[in-house]
Amino acid sequence: MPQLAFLAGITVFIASLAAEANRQGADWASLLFYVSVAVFILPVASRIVLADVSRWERLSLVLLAAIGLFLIRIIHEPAYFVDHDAFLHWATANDILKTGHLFKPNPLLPISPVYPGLEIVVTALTELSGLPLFLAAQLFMFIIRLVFICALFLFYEHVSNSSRIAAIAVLIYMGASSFVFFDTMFSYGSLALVFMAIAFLVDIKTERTAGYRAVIFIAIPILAALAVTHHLTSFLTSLILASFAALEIIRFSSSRSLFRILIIPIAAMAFTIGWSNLIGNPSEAYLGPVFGNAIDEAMRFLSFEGGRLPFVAEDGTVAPAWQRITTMLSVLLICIGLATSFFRALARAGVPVLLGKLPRRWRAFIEWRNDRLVALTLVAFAYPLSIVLRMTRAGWEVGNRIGPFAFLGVGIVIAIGIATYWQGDSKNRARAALLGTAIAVAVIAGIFSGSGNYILGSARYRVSADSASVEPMAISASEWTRKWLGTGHRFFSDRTNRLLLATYGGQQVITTLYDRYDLGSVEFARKIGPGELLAIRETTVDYFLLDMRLTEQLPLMGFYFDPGPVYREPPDPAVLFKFNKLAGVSRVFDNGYISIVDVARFRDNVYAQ
Amino acid sequence: MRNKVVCVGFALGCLASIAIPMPILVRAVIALPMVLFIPGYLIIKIVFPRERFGVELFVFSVGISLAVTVLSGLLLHAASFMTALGWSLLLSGITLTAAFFVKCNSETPPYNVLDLSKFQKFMTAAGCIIALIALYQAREGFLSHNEFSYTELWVVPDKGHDSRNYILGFTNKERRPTDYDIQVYLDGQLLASWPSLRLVDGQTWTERLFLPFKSRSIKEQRVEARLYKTEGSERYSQRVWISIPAERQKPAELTASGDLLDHNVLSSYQRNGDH
Repeated sequence: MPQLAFLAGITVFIASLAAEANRQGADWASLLFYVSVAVFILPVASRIVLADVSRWERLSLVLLAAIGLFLIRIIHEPAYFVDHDAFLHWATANDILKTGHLFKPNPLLPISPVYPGLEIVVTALTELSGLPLFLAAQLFMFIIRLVFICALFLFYEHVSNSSRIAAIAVLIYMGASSFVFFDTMFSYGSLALVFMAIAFLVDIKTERTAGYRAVIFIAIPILAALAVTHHLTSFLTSLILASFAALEIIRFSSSRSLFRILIIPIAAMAFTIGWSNLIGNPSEAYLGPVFGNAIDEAMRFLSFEGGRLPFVAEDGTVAPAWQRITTMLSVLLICIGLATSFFRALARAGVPVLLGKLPRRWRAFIEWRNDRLVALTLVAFAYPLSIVLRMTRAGWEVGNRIGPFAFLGVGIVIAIGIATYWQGDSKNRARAALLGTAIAVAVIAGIFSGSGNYILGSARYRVSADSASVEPMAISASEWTRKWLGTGHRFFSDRTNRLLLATYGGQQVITTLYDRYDLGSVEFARKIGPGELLAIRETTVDYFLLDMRLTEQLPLMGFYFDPGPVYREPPDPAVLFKFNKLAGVSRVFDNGYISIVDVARFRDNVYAQ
Repeated sequence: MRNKVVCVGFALGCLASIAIPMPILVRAVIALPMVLFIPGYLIIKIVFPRERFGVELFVFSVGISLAVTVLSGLLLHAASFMTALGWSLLLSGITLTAAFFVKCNSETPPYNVLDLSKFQKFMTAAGCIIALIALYQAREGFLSHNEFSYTELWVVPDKGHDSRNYILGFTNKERRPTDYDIQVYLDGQLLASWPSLRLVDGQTWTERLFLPFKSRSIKEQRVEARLYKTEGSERYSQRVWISIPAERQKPAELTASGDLLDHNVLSSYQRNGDH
C-alpha cells in the first residue's frame, strides 16, 4: 500500500509534467498522461482482485485510487474554475455571498438557485474560514470524494457481504465517464451523489437497527438535504430506494413490517416531490426538453436515421487512434463482464437462475434473499442505454449523467463475476494483472469519454470548448467590466464569455434559458433590422461582448451561444462589425480580439429604425 | 469525554473566530470540521452511544453534518442572517446543544487501521510530498500560460460628473514594455493627443476627458480614440468610440447594409491575431 501511495505521488507528478508539455503544444503529452494513470491504476486493481487482502487494505487502496484521480483532476483546474458547470454554481454562490440570501435568479442556470445545497455548504465554509471560494470548493470536493468512496464501499460491502467484491466494484465504478471529472466538479450533482450513497447506506442501517433512531436522526436530514441539492439525483435515489422496497415486498418472505420497508423510500419521494412543488416545479421545464430531445435522437439513431459520429467532435476534431481503440476496448470489456456476470450476480442474490439449479415452482423465482443486489443487477441495464444516448448529439449529456447511476449496477455485477469466476480464489498474479489491466482500461476510457481531448487543457484557445476556451485575456475583459462599468449590467455574449461576465464581471447576462430570447441570432445577423432591434429592446440588453475569435473556428460543443443552429463554417467577421456604424452604439472596450459595445443609447433612441 | 471536550472547543473556537481576528489558516482549521464533521459526530454519538466509531459512523457523521449545514442554510436565509456570524452562532449552537446530550461514557475505542512500518510511513509521506510539489508545479505552469498578448483600450463615462466627462485609458498586457501614441477625434477632427507613451507590462494609463458634445444635434456625434502601438517596425492601431445619436435620424443611415465591414478594425484584428 505505501509503495502504491508513493507511485500515486509519482503519477500526479508525471501528470503535471504532461499538462505542462501539453501547454507547450507537445503531441505526446496526452499519451504520457494516460500512461501514467494506467501505471497507477494497474497495480492497485491487480492487488484488489486478489482474495487474500485485508479489508482495511482494500479500503485504503480504493481511497488511494480516488485520491490519485482527484489530484489529477486538480491539475486540470489548479488555480481557478475552468469547467463550464463550475461557473454556473459559482455564480449562484457569489449571489449568496453578496446578498446573504438564497434563491437569487441565475440566468446561466435558472434551476441552480432553487437547489442550493452545494452552494450553502461551500459559502458557509467560505464565510467561516475566510478562504477564497475556489479553494474552499476544491477542499470540499476532495473531502466529499473520500466520503463518497467510503460510503460506496460500505454499501457494496453490505450488499455483497464481501469487502473484496466491494473494493473491485468501487474500482470499476471509477470507470464511469463522469467519475473523475464531472462528479468532482463544483456542481450540485457532485454533492448529491454523496448524499445518495449515504442514503443507500442509511437504508441498510435502518434495517439493522431497532426503533426509528436511524430514520429520524440520519435518514430524514440526509434525504431532505438531498432533495434541496439536486433534482435528478434525488429523484433517481427515490426510485432506486423504492425498487429496493418493492423487491422486498414482492418476495413475501421479508421479516420487516410494511411500514419499516416503505418509510425510507416514502420519505425520499416526499422530500423530492415536496421540494420540487415548493419551488414551482422548475425541473420539468429544465429536464423535460433535455430528456425529450435525447430520447427522440436515440430513437432516430436506433432506426439508423442519424446520430453523432463517435470520436468526432462537433468542430470535426477526431480523437487519436489509441484513444478510440481504448474506449472501444473498454466498452467491449464491460459488455463481456456484464454478460459473464449478470446471472452470477442474480444467483448470488438468491435468484435461481443458474443452469441445472432451475426450480420447478415459479414462486421460487421470487424468493431471492438480497433485494438490493437484485435491484443493482437490473440497474446495470442502464449501461447500454447510456452508450446509445452518447451516440447522439442531444443525448450525449443525458448519457453522461446516467453514467454514475448505471455504474452502480455495472460495478457490483462485474465485481461479482471477477470474484467468483474470472479470478475466483486463484492466487495467480498474472491473472490478477490481466484483470487489473482490464479495470485500468475501463478507468482510462472513462476519463477519456468524459473529458475528451482537453483533460490537460489546451495549448491554444478553442472556440466554445468549455475549459479550453477559458483563458486570462477573456477573464481580464470580464474583470474590466466590473471595475470600469460596475456590476449588474445586461450583457450578451457567447457561451464562454457569458460565464466569465456573470462570475468575474458580476454582470447580469442574457441567456435563452432564462430570458427566452436568442440574442445569438442578433449577434450573428448581417444587419440590425426591425427584428433584431425588437429583440434588443425586449431583452433590454445594455452591452454586447463581441469575441472576434468566434469567427476563426467552428465551436467544439456544436454551438456558439445555446444549442440550436448547426454551423458548417464559422461566421463571417463582418457580422460582428455591423455595430460599428450604428449611431448610438459606442465601442467602450477593445483589446484587439474582444470588444464591448454599448447599445443602450441605440436601444433607447426612439428614432432608430 | 476527550472527544466531547474537543468538539466543544471547536464550537467555542468557531464563535471566537468571528469576534477575534485570526489567520485564515486557523479559521480554516476550525471551520472545516465545524461544517463537515462535528455536528454530525455528536448527533451520531447521541443516536448510537455504544456503537464503535468506525468508517460507517464516520460517513454518517459527515453526511449528517452536511445535511445540518444545508438545512441550517435555509433557516438562516429565512432569518436573513446568512452571514459569518449567523453561521457561527447556529453551527456552534447545534454543536453545544448536541454535546450536552452526549453521554460521557459513550466513547468507544476506535478500530486499529493500518499498522505501517517506518519505511512504509516514509513511502506514504514521500508520495504525499511529491503530489503536493506536482500540484504546485501545475498551478505555476497554468498561471504562466498566456496565449495572447494585447492592450486593453477603453473609454467610459466618468461617473458622478457631467455626462460629457469620460475616462480614456489603456493597459499594457503585451508582456513587454511598449510604446504608444493615442489620439482623440471628434467627428474626424483631432481633439487631443498624447504621443510617445511608454508603458511597462501591466501598467495602466488613464486620462479624464471633457467631450464637447452638443446637447441637441441633428446628426450623430462621434468621439473616437485611436491607440497606436509600435512593435519593431510595425505600427498597429485599436479604436474605441462614443456615439451620441442625432435627435432625428433616418433608419437608412443607421444600417448601411451594403458596407458594414470596417476594414481598419478588421486589419487591426488580423494583425493582433498573428501574435
